[in-house]
Amino acid sequence: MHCYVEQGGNGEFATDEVSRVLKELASAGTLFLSISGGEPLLRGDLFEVIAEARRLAFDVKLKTNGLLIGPEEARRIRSLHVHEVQVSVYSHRAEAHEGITGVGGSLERSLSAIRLMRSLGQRVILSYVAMRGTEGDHPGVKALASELGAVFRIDPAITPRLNGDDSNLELNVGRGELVKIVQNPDYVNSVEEYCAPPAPADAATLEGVSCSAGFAHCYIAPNGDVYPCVQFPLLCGSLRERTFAEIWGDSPRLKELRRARNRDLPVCHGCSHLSLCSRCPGLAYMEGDMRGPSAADCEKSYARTGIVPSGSPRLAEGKFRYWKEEGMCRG
Amino acid sequence: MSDKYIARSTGIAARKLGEETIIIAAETSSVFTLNEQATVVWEAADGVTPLRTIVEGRVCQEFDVTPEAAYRDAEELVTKLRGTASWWFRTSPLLPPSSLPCRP
Ligand code: SF4
Repeated sequence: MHCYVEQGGNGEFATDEVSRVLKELASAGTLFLSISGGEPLLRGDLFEVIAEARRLAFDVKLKTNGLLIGPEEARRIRSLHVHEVQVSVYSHRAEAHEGITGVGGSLERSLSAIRLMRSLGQRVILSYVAMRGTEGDHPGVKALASELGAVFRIDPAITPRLNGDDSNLELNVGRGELVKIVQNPDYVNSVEEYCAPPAPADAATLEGVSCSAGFAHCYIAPNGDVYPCVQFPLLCGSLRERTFAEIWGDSPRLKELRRARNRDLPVCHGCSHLSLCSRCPGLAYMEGDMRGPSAADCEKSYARTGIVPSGSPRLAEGKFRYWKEEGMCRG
Repeated sequence: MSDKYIARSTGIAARKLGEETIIIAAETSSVFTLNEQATVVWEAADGVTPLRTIVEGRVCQEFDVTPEAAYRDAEELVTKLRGTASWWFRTSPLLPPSSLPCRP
């Protein structure tokens, strides 16, 4: 319903190909490996893949809906020393959660998976995606996480699908709710620091970048295509044709991405929120220019500080794109 | 003085970057960066070689350090990492050396 990942196989890598890529990643110095989907447990060889990743000493994280995790799967996850398992829970109310997943009984099944894993001491993150219709459920989901001994996390943003379809943005909560989330200690450790008025951009900020996509992390699609991030559909190479080291080191697109420092961003470099903004170059790319502003981050930055700068690109467009609400564009 | 044996835990994530090694213990979510000397100890921590042999046979050969100082550093490292489930610490070898397969 809301997921940014496009569904569909398109030549998924076989186990031996995954294994080869894991070796290439390890020898390139990669330490962290997040396995997500779709639903990763739909791969019959998932545990073989995790075992190989652990043999190569990766720090493995798993994102799943938990529906396919029974006692045996929970035991295997635990015994393979998966660092953490993230399970999305949209509401503590079954009808609301299942209205989003479209699967009857899915809340109870996800919770039962979490219980099984927790009973074995597995670290579990219960991730609450704030959405229109369930925005009031934050305290209920938090209480559920605490009852289960899981770590509670909030994700306030629904982002466009990788094919550019942004119809799911309608599911984002309103601006008032976003403000409540970003100014909540459940979302950030220090609200005071996170929501302080922006400091002027200093030399380090101007020389820096707002995101490590393409610098320290990347996304590998099930078919071996390499992108800077799961939210950045800029194809940088195929692991069917080249090694990971070749793509990581030589891709002209990655080089172009790495060249863009904050000072080179035509709109953002003059923005009063630059020093605090977590501009996502992937979302900016999907809006037409990887060096441009990203609407989601403009709107989130303004929600943090409560200030909408008069020269804001969002005001120029006359509307907010992600977190809409009547009268919110008065500045 | 009794021998001490150390073995890397199977629950650990680790990557050698240059001469240093980053290790993460999933159990405790702790992250450590081992310097060059500690990396040598880490790599040799097989559970069957006594810590003193690792220090004298590897660390002292590769670094300009006295056996006493190197052993003190190694013990300090082991103590620091013990609480993080990064490795096992024993006063007897993990397996008797005679049970290990012989290399020609
Ligand atoms: S708030 Fe918008 S314009 Fe300002 S730095 Fe962030 S993305 Fe760029």
